[in-house]
Amino acid sequence: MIKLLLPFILWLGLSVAQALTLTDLSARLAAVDNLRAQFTQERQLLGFTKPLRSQGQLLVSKELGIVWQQDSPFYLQLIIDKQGLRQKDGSGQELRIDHDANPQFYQLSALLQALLQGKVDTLQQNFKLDLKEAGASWHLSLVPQDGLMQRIFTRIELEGQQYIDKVSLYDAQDDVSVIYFSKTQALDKLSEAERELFAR
Amino acid sequence: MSSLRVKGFGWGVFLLLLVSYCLSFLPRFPLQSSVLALLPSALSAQVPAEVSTTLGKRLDAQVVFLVAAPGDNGEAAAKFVSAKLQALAGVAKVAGQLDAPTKEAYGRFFFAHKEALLTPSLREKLHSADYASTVLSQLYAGFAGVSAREISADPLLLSRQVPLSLQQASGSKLGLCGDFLCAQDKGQPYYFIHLTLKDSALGLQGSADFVAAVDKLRATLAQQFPGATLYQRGAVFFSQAAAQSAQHDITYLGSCSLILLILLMWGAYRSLLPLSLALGSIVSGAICGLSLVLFVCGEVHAFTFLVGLSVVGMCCDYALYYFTVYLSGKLSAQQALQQVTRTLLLSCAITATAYLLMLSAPFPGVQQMALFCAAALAGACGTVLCWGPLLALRVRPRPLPGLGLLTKTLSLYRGKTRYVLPVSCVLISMLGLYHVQTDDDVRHLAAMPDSLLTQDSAVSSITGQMADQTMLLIQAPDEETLLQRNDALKERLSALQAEGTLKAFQALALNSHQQQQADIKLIAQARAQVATALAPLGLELSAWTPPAPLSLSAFMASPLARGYELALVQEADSLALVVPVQGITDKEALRAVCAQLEGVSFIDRKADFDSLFAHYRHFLSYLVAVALAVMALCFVIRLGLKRGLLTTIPSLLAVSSALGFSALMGLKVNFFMLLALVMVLGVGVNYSLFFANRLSAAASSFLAVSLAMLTTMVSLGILVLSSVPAVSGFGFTLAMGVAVAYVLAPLCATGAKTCKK
Repeated sequence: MIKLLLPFILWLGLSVAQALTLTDLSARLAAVDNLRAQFTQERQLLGFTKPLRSQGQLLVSKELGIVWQQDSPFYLQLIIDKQGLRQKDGSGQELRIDHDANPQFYQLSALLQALLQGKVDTLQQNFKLDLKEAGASWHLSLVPQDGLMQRIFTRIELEGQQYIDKVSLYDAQDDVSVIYFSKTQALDKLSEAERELFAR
Repeated sequence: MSSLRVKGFGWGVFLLLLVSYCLSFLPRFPLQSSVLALLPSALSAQVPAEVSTTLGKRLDAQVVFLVAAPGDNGEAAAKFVSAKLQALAGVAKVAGQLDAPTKEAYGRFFFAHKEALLTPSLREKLHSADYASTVLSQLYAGFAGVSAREISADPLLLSRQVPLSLQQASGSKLGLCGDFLCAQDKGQPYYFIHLTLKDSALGLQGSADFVAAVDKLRATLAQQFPGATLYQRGAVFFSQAAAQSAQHDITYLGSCSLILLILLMWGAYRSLLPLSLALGSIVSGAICGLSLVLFVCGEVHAFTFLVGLSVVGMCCDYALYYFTVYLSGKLSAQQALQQVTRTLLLSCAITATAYLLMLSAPFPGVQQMALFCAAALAGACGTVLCWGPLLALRVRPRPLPGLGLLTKTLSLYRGKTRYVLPVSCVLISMLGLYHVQTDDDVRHLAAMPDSLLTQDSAVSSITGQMADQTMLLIQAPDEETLLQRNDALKERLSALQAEGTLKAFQALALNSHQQQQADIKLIAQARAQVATALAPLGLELSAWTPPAPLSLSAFMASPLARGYELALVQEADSLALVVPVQGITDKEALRAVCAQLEGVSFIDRKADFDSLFAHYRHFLSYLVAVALAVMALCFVIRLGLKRGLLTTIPSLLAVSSALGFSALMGLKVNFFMLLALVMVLGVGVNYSLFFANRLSAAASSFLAVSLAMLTTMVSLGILVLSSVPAVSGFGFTLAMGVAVAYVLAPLCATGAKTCKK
C-alpha cells in the first residue's frame, strides 16, 4: 500500500518544497532596499494607430519613494514620495499634487509605490492576487476589489524572476500600458545625487 | 394720612399696569441672546445694512462636522452621523452624502460647461506655446490613465486642469472619498458634513436644543463606533456657550446676591419691613426698567439682565436711606420722608440723567441698559416715596447698630486727618493712570470653552477652511456687471496669491459672458496646437462646437452651485457676491487693490468690531468727563460753590481711583470697564448727596451709606466671580469705585453732630 503511495507522497513533498508562495515573493522583493532600472513603456490606446513609446530610467527607494525619469520622446521627471507627486517637464514647469490636499490621489500613489516596491501585503488589501509560476519566472495578476481602483484598472499583471521585469496595466477604457524593465540593479545605498532628487 | 394712602394706592396701580404691559408680550417673550445683536448692525460704511444682516444670519446658520473612525469605519460613521443630524428638529438641510445620481449630474454638467470656469492661472498656461507638451506628458504617463476617448472628447484635458486649478486657488483640502467630501490628515480620512440651521434654531431655546442634541449624538457615536472622532464648528455653539454662562451667572450669582442682601438687611434692621421695602424697590425697579425697554425696543437682551444685577444694589440705597433716617432719629414717618424727599429726588434725577446720556452710544445693548437703569432707579425712588411711610408706620423705631462707632469714625473726617484719604486716592489714581493700558480685542471679552476652540482650529487645519473673518464684497446692479467685476477681482487676487500676499480665496468660479467668449477663442487656438502635436500618433480630433455661454442664474440652479449658495446675496435692486479671503499677510496691499476696483469693498469683521469697541470706549470716556462736569454744575447750583465742589470730589476720585486700581491690578481698560465707571458716578452721587443733606444727622447718613455700600458690594462683588472676563472686569472696576466713593463721601457731611429733633 505504502509503495503505491510513495511516489504520490514524494511528488507532494516536491511541489510543496518548490512552489513559490506570496510570502516568499514578498520577502524576495522586499529584500531590495533600493533599485535602479531602465524602462521602456508602451501605451496602446484605442483609437491611436501607433503605440505611445517612451523610455527612461527608474529609481525606487523603499525609504524615499520613486523617481520616474522619461528621456524619450521628451523629458519628463516624476517624483513620488510620502507627501505627494512632483512632475517637471522640459520647460521647467512644475506640477505638484500633495496627498493631504487630494485624498483620492493618495490611494493611487500608494498603489504605485506598492507595485514598484513589491509590497505584496499592501497589494493584498485592495486586490485579489493570483500567483503562477512558469519555470524560473513568476506571474502575479491583480484584480481590483476596491471601487476607486475598479474604475481605473480592470487588471494589473506583474512578471519577473529575480526582480520585476514587466508590468502590464489594463485600464477600464480598454487601453493597455506595458512597462519593461531592464538592467535592474539592487543598491544598498543611494548616491548623493540621487538623494538630492528627493529633496523638497 | 389719607393722602399717603392715596399715593400708595396710586403707585400700586401704576405698577400693576406695567406688569400687565410686560405680560402682554407673552407667550413668546422677546428675549434676545445672540451676541451679535449687541453690536451695531453696520459692518462698514460701504455695505448696506440689509446685506450685512443677511450675510450675518447666513453665516450664523452654518455648522460643519468632521467625522473620523479607526480602521475602515469612517464612511459608515459619517453615514450614521449624517442620518441622525437629518432627523433633528432645528436642521434645515444636511449636505454630506453624495449619492451616485448627484455625482453623475455634477460630473456631466461640469463637463458640458468646463470652458466657462477657467481660472487666471489656467488661462496663462493655455496662452503659453507649450500647453501641448503638458497634454502629451499626461498622455505618456501610464498611471495618469488618460485614454484615447478622453483625449478626443477633451484634448486640452480641461476636465482635469480646471478642478485642479480651482482647488489650488481656494486652498481647500477637500476631495471625494466614496460618497462624501473628505480631507486627509496624517493618513486618516475625515468625512465632511455641512449643515444649515433653520431660523428657529438660532433663538435661545432652539440653539440650546440643537447643542444638547449634538452632545447626545456624540455620546451615541462613541458607543456605536468606539474610537471615533467628531469635530464641530459653528457660530451656534459659541453663542450657546455664551448664553449658558450668562444664564449661569444670572441664576447662581443673582440668587447668592439676593440671599446675602436679605441677611444684611435683617442684620441691620432686625425687622422684615425695611427688608420688604428694599425688595419692593428692587422689584418695582425691575418692572419699570423692563417695561421701558420693551416699550422702546420691543425686545430685551440677556445682557441687560446681567447688567441689571448691578442696579439692584443701587435700587436698595433709597430704601436704606429712608429707613435709616427714620429709625435713627426720633421722627415720625412723615417727618423722615420730608427730610429725605429732596435728596432722593435730586439723586435719582442726576443719576438717571447720567444714564440717559448713554443713549447716545449706538450700541443696542448699551442703549437698553441705559433705559433699564434709568427707569429702575426712578421706579425704586417712587416706591420709597409712595410706600415708605406706609410701611414705616408699622415699624417701631429702635436703636440701630453701629451708630456709636460711626460717629467716632466721623471725627476722623474733621481736622487734619481728613486729607489722608483723598490724597492717597489722588496718588493711586496718578500711579495707576500712568500705567493704564487698553485692550479692545473682542476675543478677550468672553472666554470661550477650550473644547470649542480646539475643535475649531482642528477643523481649520484639516479642511483648509480657515475661520478668518475677512472677505471682499462685490456689489453690482446686474448679473453681467457682477461677474465682470468678479473676473477683474479674480485676476488681481490670483496675482496676490502668487506673490504670497494672501494664502487662499474662494471666488465664484463662473466667468462673465465677455470672459467666456474670449476664453472660447483661446481654447480653439490651444486645440489647434494640440491637434498638431497628436497628429504623428495617428489620432484625429473631431470637430468641436463651442458650448453656449452659461449665465449666473443657470449656474446657481445647477449642481455646480454647491458650495456657492452662501456667496450670492440678492437684494431688491442689486446683487452682491462674497469672496472669503484667508491668510492675508499684507492688509494694506489688499485694501489698495479694492480701492482700485469698482464695486469691491473689504470687510474685516473682527477688526471692525475691535475698532468699534475702541471708538466707543473713547466716546464713553468723554461721556464720563461730561457727566462729571454736569454733576458738578448741579451741585454748585444746589449747594453753592464751595460745598458743591466738595460734593463732587468723592465721585471724581472714585472714578479715577477705580481706573487706577484696575490698571495696577493688571486689568486692561476696555469698553465694559468704562460702563462700570458710568455706574460708579451714579453711586458716588448717591453717597455724596446723602451726606450733604443738612436735614439729617451725619451719623445716620453714614449708617445708611454704609449699608448702601454693603448691599452694592454684595450685588457687585458677586460679578467679579463671573466667568465672563468682560463682566468680571466690569465688576472689579465698579467695586473699587464704590469703595472709594464710600470712603470719601463723609467729607461732604454737613449734618449736625448729634441727632436733631
